[in-house]
Amino acid sequence: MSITSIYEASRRSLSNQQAAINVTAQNITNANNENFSRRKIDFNFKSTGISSQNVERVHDKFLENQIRLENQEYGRANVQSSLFKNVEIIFGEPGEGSLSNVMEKFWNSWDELSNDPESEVKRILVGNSGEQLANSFNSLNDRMENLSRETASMAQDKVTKVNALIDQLGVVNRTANRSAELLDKEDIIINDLSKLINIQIKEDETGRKSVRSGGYSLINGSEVTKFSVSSTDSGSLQKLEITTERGDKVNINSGELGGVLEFNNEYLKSYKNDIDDITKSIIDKVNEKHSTGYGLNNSTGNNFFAGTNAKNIQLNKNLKDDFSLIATSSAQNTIGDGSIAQEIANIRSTLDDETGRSIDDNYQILVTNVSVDGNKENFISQNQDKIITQLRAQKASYSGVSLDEEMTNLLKYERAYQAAAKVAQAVDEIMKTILQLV
Amino acid sequence: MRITQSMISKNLIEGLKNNREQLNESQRRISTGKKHAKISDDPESFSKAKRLSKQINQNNQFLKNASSANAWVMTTRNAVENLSTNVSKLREISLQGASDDLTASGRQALSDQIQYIIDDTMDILNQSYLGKKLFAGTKTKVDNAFSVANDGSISYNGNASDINNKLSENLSLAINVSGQEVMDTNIFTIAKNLKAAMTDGSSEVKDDLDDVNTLLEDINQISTSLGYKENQIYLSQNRLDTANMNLSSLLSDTEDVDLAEAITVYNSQEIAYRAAMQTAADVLKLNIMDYLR
Repeated sequence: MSITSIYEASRRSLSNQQAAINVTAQNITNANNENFSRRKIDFNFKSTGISSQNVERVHDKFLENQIRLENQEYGRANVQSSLFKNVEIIFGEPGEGSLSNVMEKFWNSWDELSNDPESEVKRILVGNSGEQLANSFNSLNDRMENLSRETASMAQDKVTKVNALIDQLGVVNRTANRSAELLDKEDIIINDLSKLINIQIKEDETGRKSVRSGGYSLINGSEVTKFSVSSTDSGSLQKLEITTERGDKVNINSGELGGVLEFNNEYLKSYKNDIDDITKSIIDKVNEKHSTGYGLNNSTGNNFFAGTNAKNIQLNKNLKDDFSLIATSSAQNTIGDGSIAQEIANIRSTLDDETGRSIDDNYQILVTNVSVDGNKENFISQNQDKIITQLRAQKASYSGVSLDEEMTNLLKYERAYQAAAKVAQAVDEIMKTILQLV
Repeated sequence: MRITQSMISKNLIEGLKNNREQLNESQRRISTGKKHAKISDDPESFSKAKRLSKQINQNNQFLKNASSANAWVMTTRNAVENLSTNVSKLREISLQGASDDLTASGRQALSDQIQYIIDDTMDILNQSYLGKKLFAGTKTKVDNAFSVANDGSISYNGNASDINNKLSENLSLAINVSGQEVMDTNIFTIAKNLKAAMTDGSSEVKDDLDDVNTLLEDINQISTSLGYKENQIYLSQNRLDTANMNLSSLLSDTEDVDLAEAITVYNSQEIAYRAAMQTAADVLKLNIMDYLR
């Protein structure tokens, strides 16, 4: 063995320790970066010295997949739990101006009128509370439609995000050098994607990912498909759908986008239908009684409400101009008879023959359903959050940077560097000694 | 398990956040006095509270109905008692008129008294309460429930319908006495017959005495039925009051906060929060840099 080879060994040693310190520095830089997987130097190399191949990315693929899977359900439930808060605000229960209060006032006003059917003042009260009830239904309907429009634009935002992420993944797939940094980036993209939509990921032999969603390919190699939102009018509320560029319908059922779609297409739609049903039964039942009754001037056959649903319910125009048309008595010329008014007041607690429930019951059930549904999604969201936090903790435990470790490593490499320098110095002395022999 | 610095700080932040949320919720409970702010906090107890308060509101409405019914029935009963007094007077007069030793002018005076009683009875029966005719059935806005035609005959302008007031879910009470019921006692016919008989002679008056007795019985029966109605109203008011008291205490159990408990919970949460902050400060100070020189 020649002395010069020892020179070479110590030079290599110096550069290796330097490379190791460089990796340590990189780790310390990213100590608080959640998406960073710490790097480890593999000193098990051949004579060529340390290279990027010796830098190992400490990473658990299984954990990463697990997190992505849970992300999809979390995204769905989380976006819904915040949307449900809006629905609760729309209903405003329990509260002064809530529909249940307005409804109660309406029925009570009929009760009052039935005690005093001759009274003009109580007629005005009935007329006003009827108008208030109609307005409450109208504005409830408006606010629901607004919320639906809002969810439509939310869906649009999410799709835009998905498309952007897919573009980025395309760039990653086209990059030849799959460095640790690129892999970190790829993880972030796929993670973000998994929060937005349901995805299945396949990996080819080079590690490049292809992503499918709802039966359609989003990215395959560098071949990218874009999604878009389309809305179809389904009666009163628009139905949101996701389609590919070729117009195929994609089944998005989880992730934030899936949550937004489900919220609009199922929950909101069913609440809207329920409200319409309740409105219609109030209109029908009140009109049915009212049209048989007689008003102050023996007027009869008048409807109290006009319209068929929450959007168009209003007070009968003629009656609005002349409250003496409000019918209270069951026969002509019997002004003191409040029996029709009483029957109308009784509608609130009259049980339906088919369902066995009253109008008040139906509304109460709807309001309770809204909060039970909201609670369900909120519970799932919190639960998923806990699962993901735990998985992330596992990931951090495995892939995260520990400053204690890095500082200790730094000391270790520093000492090794000093030792390598010492070796160089020793060889140099030896060389000097040899040269003096000559 | 391998624990990194960022895991520690993340857990600390998460823990402190949870503590703050709990403190906020406890604070809300104490300041509002209500267990829940939104339905979704507890849909079940909300819908129970809603049912209870609805029942209370409805009972309050029934109580209102009852008190207005009561006022009406009492006014009616006063009027019927006045009728009864008039009929008693009629009976006294007829007893006097049945005596044989009455002069013609004495008979004329009694006959005038009967006319006076008829007029007063008309007044009583045409009484209004709150602008509504008491004795006109459901035609409460007619000008006169009873009117006298030119030939002196008296006719009833109302109808025989009941005015019903709802006192509870299943109890509707007819609160009025229709003029028809009064007409059916033949009060005016009997009085007029009596008046005619008074000038005719004592034997005719004696014949009418039985009719007057029956009339008194009939009027008293109406009065009794009103008393029975008053009693029924009183009973249902009592029932509604008791029900509301029970319902209110149930409602309070369902939605009101037990302050002593809430404050105790708040205190223990505060201690937990302080402890968490204390340990956070200590743990974050631990640093390998302090030991590497």
